[in-house]
Amino acid sequence: MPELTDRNAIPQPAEPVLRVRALSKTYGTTRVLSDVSFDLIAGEVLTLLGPSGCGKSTTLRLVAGLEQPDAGEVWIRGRLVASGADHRAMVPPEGRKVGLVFQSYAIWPHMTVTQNIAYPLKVRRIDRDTIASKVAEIIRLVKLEGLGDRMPPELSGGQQQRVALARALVYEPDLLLLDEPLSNLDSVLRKEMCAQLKMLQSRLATTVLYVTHDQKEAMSLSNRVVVMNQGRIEQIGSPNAVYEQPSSRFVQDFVGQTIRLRGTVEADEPRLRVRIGDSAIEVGNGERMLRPGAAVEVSMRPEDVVLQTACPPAGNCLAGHIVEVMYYGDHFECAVRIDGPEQQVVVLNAEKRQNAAPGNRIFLGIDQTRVKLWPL
Amino acid sequence: MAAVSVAAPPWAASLRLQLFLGMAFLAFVALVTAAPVLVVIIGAIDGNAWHETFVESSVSRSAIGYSFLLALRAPIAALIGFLIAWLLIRVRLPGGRFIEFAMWVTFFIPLLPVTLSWILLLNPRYGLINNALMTLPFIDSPPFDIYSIGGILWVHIVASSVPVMVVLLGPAIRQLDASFEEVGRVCGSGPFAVFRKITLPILAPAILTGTLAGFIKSLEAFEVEQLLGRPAEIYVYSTRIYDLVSWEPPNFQAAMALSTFVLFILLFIAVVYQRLSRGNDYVTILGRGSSFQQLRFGRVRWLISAALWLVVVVSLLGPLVMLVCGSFMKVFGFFNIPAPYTLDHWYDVLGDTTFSSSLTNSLIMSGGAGLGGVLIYAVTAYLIVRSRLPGRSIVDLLAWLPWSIPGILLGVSVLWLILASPLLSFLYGSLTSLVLIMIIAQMPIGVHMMKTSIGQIAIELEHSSRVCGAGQLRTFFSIVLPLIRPMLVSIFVIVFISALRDISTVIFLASARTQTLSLLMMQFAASSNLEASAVIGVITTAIVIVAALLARRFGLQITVQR
Repeated sequence: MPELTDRNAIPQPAEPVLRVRALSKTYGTTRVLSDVSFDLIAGEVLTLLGPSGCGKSTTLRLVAGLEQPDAGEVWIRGRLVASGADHRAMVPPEGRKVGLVFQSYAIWPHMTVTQNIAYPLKVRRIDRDTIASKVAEIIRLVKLEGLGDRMPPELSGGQQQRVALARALVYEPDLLLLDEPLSNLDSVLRKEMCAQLKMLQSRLATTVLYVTHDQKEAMSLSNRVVVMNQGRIEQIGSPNAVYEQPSSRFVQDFVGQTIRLRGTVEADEPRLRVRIGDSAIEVGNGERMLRPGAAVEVSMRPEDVVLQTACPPAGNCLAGHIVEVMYYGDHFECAVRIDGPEQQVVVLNAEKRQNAAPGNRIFLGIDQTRVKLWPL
Repeated sequence: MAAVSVAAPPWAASLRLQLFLGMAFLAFVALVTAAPVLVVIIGAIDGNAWHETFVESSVSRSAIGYSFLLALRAPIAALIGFLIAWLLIRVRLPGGRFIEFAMWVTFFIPLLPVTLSWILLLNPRYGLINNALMTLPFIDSPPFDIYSIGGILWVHIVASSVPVMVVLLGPAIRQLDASFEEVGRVCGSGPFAVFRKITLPILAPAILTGTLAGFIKSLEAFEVEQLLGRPAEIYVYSTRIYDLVSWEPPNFQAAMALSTFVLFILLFIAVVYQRLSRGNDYVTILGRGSSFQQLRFGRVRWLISAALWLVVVVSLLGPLVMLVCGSFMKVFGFFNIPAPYTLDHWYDVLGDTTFSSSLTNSLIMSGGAGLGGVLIYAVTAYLIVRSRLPGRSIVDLLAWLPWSIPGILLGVSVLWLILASPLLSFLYGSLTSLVLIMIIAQMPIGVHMMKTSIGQIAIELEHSSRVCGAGQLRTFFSIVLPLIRPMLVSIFVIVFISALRDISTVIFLASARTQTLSLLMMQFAASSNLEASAVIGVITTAIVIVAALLARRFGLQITVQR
């Protein structure tokens, strides 16, 4: 690779591999990204998680250099590669030394597996022997041995995915960008590739920026998750923090499943009590100042709710009736109507052994420490 | 964050260079497409010329009338062609695949040799068919005269218009999701009702597009009218222009005035055409490559097949056989003289140095136009589809412009440009000018097909290459071009064949030194040396068929769709 005179470099200890500062991007009149900032340190896997159109892919494309920001800066290894204020600082994608795997893999159909993987090295005018040995090594690493002479259409989805991964890794980029790389695989293969990806990452200690809308992938792969919505960052934190302490209703909804019920605060002494339909439950929530009479939304994770045929004494229960039972083989799901004038319906998992039938009376046992309240 | 001194990084210079090169290229394309039209319009700004053309000269007026009368073949051919294409694709017919293949070959065959064959058959004095019919007791005079409006229409329809429509509409029919028709059948309609009420309306936009394209192309026709119309004093627009410019001194202004009139009509049609093919949304939403069951028609299929075979015989096989016969005849058309066949004409033509130089010129011009065209169209289309250069949408429109200029007119205006501007005088009478004009003439179809092809490449394939470290140019050459290789071959062949068979576009630009094979054939035909003309016709046709067959192996597909 020709030596790039790096005048923008500023030597700094513990410089993050990627530094994104106040990125904004507008297409026409639609603002797709506003004020997005985060850092990525060496060896870390950071996931941008959010629904489609939330700006996560745009962020990735800005980092890769496929788009120009309207405002904000992108620094890779201490080098300014994109700046909204100064377009002269726009480093084209080929000058950024990042690797990228697309959702569609984008393997060139006119080249063999080996030619695809060797391409980044050839572009860098590396000698033939080095190319051969590097390609062989990466092919072994991603378990594509023996497929080097195949053409892409002859490969399965999982194999294509690994070719794309090998092509992105072979030149040892500073940063690996993955744009929903697993979403085109069927669910069994997705789990397997997810595990392989994780092992490969920890083995190579690659720094990864991962984009997905699948919260399971995000949780299992990353050190930190950035939850995005409508072009903004909602929360940055470890998978556990994002799941257990969502900072907004959006995050709680998007990460994991949520049951939501509307209610009214009945008392705030000694404990906060919320009336939902005919029942009232205690809620262990001290931070929020909620006065009796305030309308609230009560939300909880389904796994924190226990379905019971009777409410134990001093139990914290909502009473209801089963409306419908859906059989899934390994478990049931019950639609339960909470007793009360609003007739709110929630869907909950039920164990196989549980004798659930439409019309049965049922109680929802609620762990008061695991309930979140959002004022309406 | 520390203050950063942002000196221009190394790639800034190359980015600026790329921007400059891209803009320069777009400007070049805009210039070569727009200049000929501007020349015509400016050349016609002269009140006298208009008066002379449209008031004083009845020949010019009638030429326009005849041109539009003859253009009526477009809608006729579109309907017949659509019916044939539908039968070939949707009905299981004996020999169906061969018939389709024959139509495809006919699409490429040059018109002049075919015209010679029809002279052989329908000449009022010696035409074979006329003579055969006159042996019947109740026919005393030759029933057919090829030198007439009917004769011109006939040659065009059987030899060109119908096969062209079959080839153009075939892909549209093939892409029509068969489930539309199947649902119609399930609802209780018979195959013909389904054809009438479902297939035809859905494909109507494609048929209309084809008709308009045929209409525009029909005004380009030159050699058939020149050969068959002149003896009967039937002049059309293109032959009239030819006369005006080849007189001594040439009457450029009258030619330009006549052309401007036609140009505006054509521009109007071209705009309608572009509108139609752009708003043609429901053709594009049809499923692609869906498999379908061919209809089974019982005994009727033999009848249909026989009718289609007749079409093949009339449009391809018959003319080819007659052409070969004609090239071996002592006197063209006289089968009754003793020992009518001879090899003399073949010896004469092949031994002539004019022939060998014309053959060389033709191959160089066609090959050059093919290679140059492919490269220019690819870059133009790429810049239009992928770049963000200012002015690319204007170039996108301008690239259609040569559609609206009949070949003869393009030739006249480029000639005028070369004569009028000292900077271009080096092009006068050169092969380069022929190559250039053929590239301009095929610009619309070339750029359009390339655009479609490049647009189908997933953009991620290019982005991956960029991220992997390859620059814009490298990505273009090692990713984009290889991916559209079949299209490159197809367009090369289309341009090659068009250039090889072209007469009207190059007729004013070629000098004695740069005479092409087609022009030599035309010259022989015009000087009544029909035997020699037939010899060259056989050779040209053979080259064209070989090229077309090669292209077919690479999956050449031509269609009116976007």
